[in-house]
Amino acid sequence: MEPPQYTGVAYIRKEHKYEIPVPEVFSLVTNVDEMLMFYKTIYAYAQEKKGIFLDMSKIRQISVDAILYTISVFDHLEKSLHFTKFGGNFPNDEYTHQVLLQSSFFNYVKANFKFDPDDSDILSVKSGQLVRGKVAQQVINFGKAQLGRVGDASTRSMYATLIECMVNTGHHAYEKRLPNWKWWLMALPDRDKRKVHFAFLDNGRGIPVTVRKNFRERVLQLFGNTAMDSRLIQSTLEGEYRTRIKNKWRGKGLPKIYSYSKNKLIENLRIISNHGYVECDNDQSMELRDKFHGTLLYWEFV
Amino acid sequence: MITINIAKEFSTTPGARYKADGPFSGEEFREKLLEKHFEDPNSDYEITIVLDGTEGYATSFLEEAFGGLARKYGKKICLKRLRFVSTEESSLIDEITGYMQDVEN
Repeated sequence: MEPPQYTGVAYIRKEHKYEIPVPEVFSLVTNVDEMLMFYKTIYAYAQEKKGIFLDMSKIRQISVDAILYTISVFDHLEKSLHFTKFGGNFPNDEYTHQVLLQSSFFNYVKANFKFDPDDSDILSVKSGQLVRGKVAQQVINFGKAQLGRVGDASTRSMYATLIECMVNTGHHAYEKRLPNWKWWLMALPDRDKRKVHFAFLDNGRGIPVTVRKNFRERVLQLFGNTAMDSRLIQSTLEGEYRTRIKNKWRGKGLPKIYSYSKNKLIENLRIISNHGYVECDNDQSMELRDKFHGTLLYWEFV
Repeated sequence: MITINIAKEFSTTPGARYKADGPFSGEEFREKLLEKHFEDPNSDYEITIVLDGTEGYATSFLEEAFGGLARKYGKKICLKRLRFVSTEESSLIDEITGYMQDVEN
């Protein structure tokens, strides 16, 4: 695979490793093109079986979605390519450094040290395969505590959102389970605690691949046309009958999450899946140049 | 008349559709707490379901519990015998009723 045009990569000959700079804005929701180019670069160099050193020193902005996706990329590289020769440094920015430490990021990517999160203001990454209501409850209680909204029943829609996300990972309405499916979840408050950011990621085949498509869409996809991914996501959200299973009562989860967004029960909902990127608040979407593996839902609790 | 309080008798953290999805699924709830009241076709007592007290509900849980019940025993009898109480999220009542009405039998 030809390495992509990602600037700043250096080969350290005596250590047989590539040093790859991590984007300063380490966030898929605000810097998706550069981030996907960065991951594509990691995949390309991992094929060479040399070491990869991630230079994280210049990260100045970090978001939960990027932490989750990086963990899933490491997980995939280890399981599919048996590639584990990763190294890296810490961000110079103290806040970013702390977020990475407290999120358990380094434990998930199997760094050569262990760190037990001890900051109650940062919810470490949760991971699983099945639907785990207790985990969803824990995450919501964290969000409520951060915003001083303990006892607030308005988070019921968020609980439903998390459960829908978990079940969509492995056994959703669109196709059968994948063998190595997994989900990751994280929440992080703003520095001023005015909102809590949530991200949920699964490593499935992605909404555009798994939903039911009409004949024209199938033909286009067969010829590698991915320019319709965001439209497929959007139409799934809007409740078009796209479940592959013949039972019409299935496939209501994503439309329900979309309705929560439209009713402002969750804020700033964004969905990234394969080549599609959808901002649900304003129904803006775009096609991504590089592929995102899996499905990410990001939203805020204000 | 009997009352089933989901939070007290089943779980405060209801799960998704099937038992294979994880604990406290709609299927599990239907089998454990609902179906026994519908096995005798002559039973006609009212069943009140209290929805409050949980963290919330996924659509798949509700659809499988109540839509699934209607698919198995008929929507007419289910709509006739089930009553729902929700002060925390009253829209759930219409949602569940809709799932039962959508059943084709």
